[in-house]
Amino acid sequence: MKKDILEIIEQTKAPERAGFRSQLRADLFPTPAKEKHFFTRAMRWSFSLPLATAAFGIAAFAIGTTDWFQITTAPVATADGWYAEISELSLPELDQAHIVAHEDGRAEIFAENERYIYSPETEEWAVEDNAFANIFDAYSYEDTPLLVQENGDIIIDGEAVSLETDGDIQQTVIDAATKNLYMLTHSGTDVQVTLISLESKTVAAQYQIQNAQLLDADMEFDELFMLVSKGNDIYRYSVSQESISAPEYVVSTQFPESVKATFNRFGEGQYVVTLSDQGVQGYELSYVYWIPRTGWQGETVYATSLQAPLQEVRVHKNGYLQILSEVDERWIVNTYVSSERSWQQSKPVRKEYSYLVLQNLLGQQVPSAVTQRYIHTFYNPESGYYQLKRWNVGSDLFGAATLVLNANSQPVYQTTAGEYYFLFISTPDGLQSVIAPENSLFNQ
Amino acid sequence: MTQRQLEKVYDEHFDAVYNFIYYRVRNMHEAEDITADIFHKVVKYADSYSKKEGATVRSWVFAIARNTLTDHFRTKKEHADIENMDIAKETELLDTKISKKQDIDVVFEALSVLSDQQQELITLKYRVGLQNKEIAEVLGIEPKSVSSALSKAIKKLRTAVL
Repeated sequence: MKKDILEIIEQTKAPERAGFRSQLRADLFPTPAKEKHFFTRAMRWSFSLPLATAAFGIAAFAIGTTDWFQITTAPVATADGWYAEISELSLPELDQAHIVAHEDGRAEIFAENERYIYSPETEEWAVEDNAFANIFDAYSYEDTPLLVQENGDIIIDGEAVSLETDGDIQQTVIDAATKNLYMLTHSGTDVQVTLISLESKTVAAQYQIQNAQLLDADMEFDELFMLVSKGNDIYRYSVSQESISAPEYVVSTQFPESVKATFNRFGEGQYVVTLSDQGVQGYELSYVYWIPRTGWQGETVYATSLQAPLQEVRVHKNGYLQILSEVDERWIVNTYVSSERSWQQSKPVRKEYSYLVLQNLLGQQVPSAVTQRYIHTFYNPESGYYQLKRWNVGSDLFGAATLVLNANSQPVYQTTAGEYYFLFISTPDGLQSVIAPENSLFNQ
Repeated sequence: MTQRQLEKVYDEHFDAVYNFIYYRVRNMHEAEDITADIFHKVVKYADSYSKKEGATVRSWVFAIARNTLTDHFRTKKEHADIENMDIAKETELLDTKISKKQDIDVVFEALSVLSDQQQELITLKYRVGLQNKEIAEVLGIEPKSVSSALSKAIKKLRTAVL
């Protein structure tokens, strides 16, 4: 028998996206942690939060039928605090400090006069005098700090090694595999490359590129890949212990005034030069990229007369390029996947809902040490939500964790090392940190 | 209202509100956004809810829902953006299960013969399940007007789908 239309209306529910109801509920009503069984997962986060200074509690809950795992804070003091609070550490500017993350989960912060050391065993920070001031860069090398000082000296195993370098340091690059450190300096006219053997603690090679400016450098397999500009032209060099390559022409920057060129690292030793032209006809985006053994290639990947304001263009290391646009109060992210030479478009997401959208939508990314994927972080200063997502291009969300920062708090640095994830948050009371095994943060 | 009471309001009325909105905007993302808006307002203005004689929490929530929807349509009219609508349609197709889509299509096709006001009335009555008295409170009209308006809408709907 044919159904009456009113009966069909009564029985036909609107389609609903899995997880939306729970997401919204979580957004409206943050839940105290101890009521939820997922708290056991949160307990695996490292913490050492003295009750006397505790300002945070924790709420952890699963969302709907999806694999989302959300962690948020609530203003309830609890002994089960979820991240270490270093109330005694007060750094006026974090960029004056250097953070070193070791693969065994230890972290060290070198500030002007002090050195802070975090132990994953005791989950506590210790403070001692910092004997090495004026630090330019700091690395973890064989689980000990390797410091580069502004005067060009390096410190390995606590021992200072003086090196003959010319000019101001522009950049340093470490290659743990070959146990070399590259120091790139500029004399005012020339770029100098100094290759330092970390085993012998001596200068193994030194090269000069005359009348040049350093743009960027990174490792490409066991060679240093450098982009330098000479006048309006950009050249690439490869540097090894044995030699420096002849300059290879990449691209000229003699474009119309509306064209902007940016340079990004692009995967294993690959670089991309992004040329964007926002002319009267709309927005055009081209890029030239280096593929090892193939050479330079270029193409126009985006051209539109869309009137939507284009907020940001970003090139990611794992081979894709993202454009963030704002359309009708929503964010839309267009992602160009270079391997497929095709575009993917995100769902439009409304700006003001913190559970979906975060102001710095494209956020920072760090490689996931555990999965070889990437951890993207999205931060919305208005809501205080800081969201971590571990995912891969072209696949669905792989895992997510969200935490809520207190007012006037700001995430300032994140990295991974070994199986650990490190996050540092600047607060009015000092620096706070999340240091946890990466897999404890994300649902698998 | 306490937080616990508000959570109860959310749990009891989420389905009805979301369905009402979806039936009106026929787009999942818009329905989600507007539903979120509505419940943010419910939480924000919880203190303003006072139980008038005969007024229920449900009719209060739906009055907020209806006002929010009206604002949405007004804004949308002002900022019509064809490109954005295409995107919304595309993602809608991806998200919607085919079987559900078919039923929904039948319903939407049938409802399209009605005026906006009649569609609203039918949705509130048969999809949401409000009583005539509650519909009257939401729409700000007399209950007897609801009955006669419903009768007309049902007759028109049935004639159209014959």
